[in-house]
Amino acid sequence: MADSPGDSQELEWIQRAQRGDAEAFGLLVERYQRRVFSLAYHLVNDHEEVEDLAQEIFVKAFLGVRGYDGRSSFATWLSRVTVNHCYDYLRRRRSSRVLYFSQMNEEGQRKLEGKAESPPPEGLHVEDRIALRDLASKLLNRAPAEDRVILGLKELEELSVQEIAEVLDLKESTVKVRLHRARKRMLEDFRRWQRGR
Amino acid sequence: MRCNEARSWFEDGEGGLMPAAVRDHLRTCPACQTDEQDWGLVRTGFQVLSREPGPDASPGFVARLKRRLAEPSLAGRAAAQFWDFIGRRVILVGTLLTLALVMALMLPPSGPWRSPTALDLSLLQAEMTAENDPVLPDDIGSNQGVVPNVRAGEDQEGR
Repeated sequence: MADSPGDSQELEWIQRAQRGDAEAFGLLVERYQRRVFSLAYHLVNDHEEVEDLAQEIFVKAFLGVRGYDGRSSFATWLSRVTVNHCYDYLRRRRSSRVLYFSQMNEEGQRKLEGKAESPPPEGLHVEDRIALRDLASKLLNRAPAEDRVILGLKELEELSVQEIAEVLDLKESTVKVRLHRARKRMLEDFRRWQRGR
Repeated sequence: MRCNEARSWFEDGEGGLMPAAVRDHLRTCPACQTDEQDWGLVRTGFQVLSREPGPDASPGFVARLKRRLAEPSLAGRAAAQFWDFIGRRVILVGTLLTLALVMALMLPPSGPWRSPTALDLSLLQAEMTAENDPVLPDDIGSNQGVVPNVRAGEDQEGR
């Protein structure tokens, strides 16, 4: 995930951006916009919001780029800004969140019901994959912001524990514990829904 | 195999063939078996989600952003943040120096919080020297009222 910190051109852009050069920062935006869009999308799971969020993230990064000291790669630093911004957004949005399963249509519920009683699928049909995608998406939407961020980084961005530790500025052992707890809470939520049907 | 070892395989594992030890554990542990099945479902959903491409930036995203970054209000905000950063440190150092000065003026010249100064030491030395000094003739003059009494006492004993 980390790009080479020794990239001299990138270093020059960063230094110019640190002096307030918006043009130089624009070059960094061009280089990293896909990464920021993807990460923000996986963390908030909302197509409509991603572009606005990405713009706010880049503005925040521009205002804070003086604080970038090169100890991690710029990509990691920018991921940290993105994760923090998305985390704040998710916390703000949590209060107005609509509960998941009431939104799911009957067809999706029926498919999930069938899947939940069978072993993990190999070679799923398209509709089963859609139902499971819907399940994972809605479980993420219901999860607390911190669980959502750490599971999003692990399961959707497919970062290693070491990379997550770097982005969240935590110890690897702490990341492992938080991942385990987040998964446990998600499974409990899944079962609550199964019992409540 | 213990439950947490089996769980760490199916939670963190990258997939692939399940080791025989995990399979044996799942056969004898219904709780782990249920967790493995349920997590397998959720994880499959995550895998589908992770392969969905995020939205692309709309045309002109970077240009719009650069215009916003160049706006005077934002440039001013960046400068304000910088001076705020510097200003806070100046205020902190100033406060600490003032506090140190006030303490230096308010505390007694010696005591548990302050060691004796050079002036204190020179005064103490002068005091000690004065106590050890032999009585000078001039001093006898000032103590005349005492000395005759002592002599008077000696005279009385002699008698």
